Amino acid sequence: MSDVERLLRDYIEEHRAGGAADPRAYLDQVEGTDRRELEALIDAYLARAPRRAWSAEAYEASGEPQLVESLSRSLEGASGLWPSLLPSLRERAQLRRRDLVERLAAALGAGDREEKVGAYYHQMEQGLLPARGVAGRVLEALGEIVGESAETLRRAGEALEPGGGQTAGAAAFARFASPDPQAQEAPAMPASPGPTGPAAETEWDELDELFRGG
Amino acid sequence: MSNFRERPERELQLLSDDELIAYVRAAAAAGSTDAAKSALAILVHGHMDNVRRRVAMKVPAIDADDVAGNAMVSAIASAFNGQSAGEFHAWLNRIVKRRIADYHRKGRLDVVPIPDPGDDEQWGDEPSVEPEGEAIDLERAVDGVFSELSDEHARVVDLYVFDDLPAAEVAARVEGMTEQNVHQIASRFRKRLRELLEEGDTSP
Repeated sequence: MSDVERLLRDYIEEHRAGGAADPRAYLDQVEGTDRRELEALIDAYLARAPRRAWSAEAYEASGEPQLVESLSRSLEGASGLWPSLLPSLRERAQLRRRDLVERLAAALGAGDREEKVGAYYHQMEQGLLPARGVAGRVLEALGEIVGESAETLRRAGEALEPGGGQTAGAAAFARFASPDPQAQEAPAMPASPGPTGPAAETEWDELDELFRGG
Repeated sequence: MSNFRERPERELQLLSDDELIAYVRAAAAAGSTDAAKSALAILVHGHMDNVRRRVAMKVPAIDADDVAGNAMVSAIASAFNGQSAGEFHAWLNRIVKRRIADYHRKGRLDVVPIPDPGDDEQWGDEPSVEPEGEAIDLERAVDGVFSELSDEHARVVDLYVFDDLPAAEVAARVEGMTEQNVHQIASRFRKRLRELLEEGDTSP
């Protein structure tokens, strides 16, 4: 039996026994074409491997609950993939939310209204703000801060139908909703970023226009 | 009134990937957030480790988790929105491959909008720079060799090489096959794979 065959068999055995099965530990034992062959075979094996059996314990101990939470907000919210994307971009940029909000407010010329900008940004991360209402200027400023193009942010925000097709309801909810202080990691946000009620639309300020006016 | 019925965890575990996606869609439409999350958890937990392992072979460790997470989110989101092609597991594999390619093409962790499954043009070119001097499209090499096999021989390779079944059992499962045949077919498969890898040509 060749080294590649042996290592592949050992890898499959460890994987099926529920071990860590880190491919790199096996790949590091061979070089050159042997390594490439082993990598191709392990990759093909993993691509074919069936779905892992559910383990509530293993699930809770992993980082998967956070991913499922953000995915759930994306699928059920009004902001496309922003609940999944924005936190990871913020993490990549190594920014705390309050620092991002401070920079975003300054970029929008609203340095004295950080709280309101923060409330809107919070809604973006929570999937509560319809992406179509957010102006390009906001996405450009945000993109500059997190190192992503405004176009990519736009497409991610509009990637999914809001609320599984409940477009009108999601839009109304976004207009009248108040950020839930219990659900946020940042310090307390204002109860609502903007005025409520149908007549309030005429009372929008510049920030309301930027985040909801499209 | 919604016809959605919330299912217990033990029932959800028995659903296929595509049935879970359909359940998530129905739960979301009915406003049953917790039910949707339960199904999403089973789907993510079922595939995340293998996605992470595959990515870790081709992407630096510091970015591997993010690339893997992005691939999972993209695959599920596009399947949820009816934008995926084929079965979910095959779609997930395709997304993983593309996310890895995008990572190397752009030289950094990146997020690409959900693709149009019918538009391969929008994926862009394959990376022109090979990370660490190695081609990343090893999956194409395996697929290429598989495409040269008859259905019967492909089944033998699947059972013997990837399912790791004993040759005697494989022979018993494939009509007209002997243990010696199984060894020969597997040996030829690996020999052909090495030929393609040594040539640097991953097309059949």
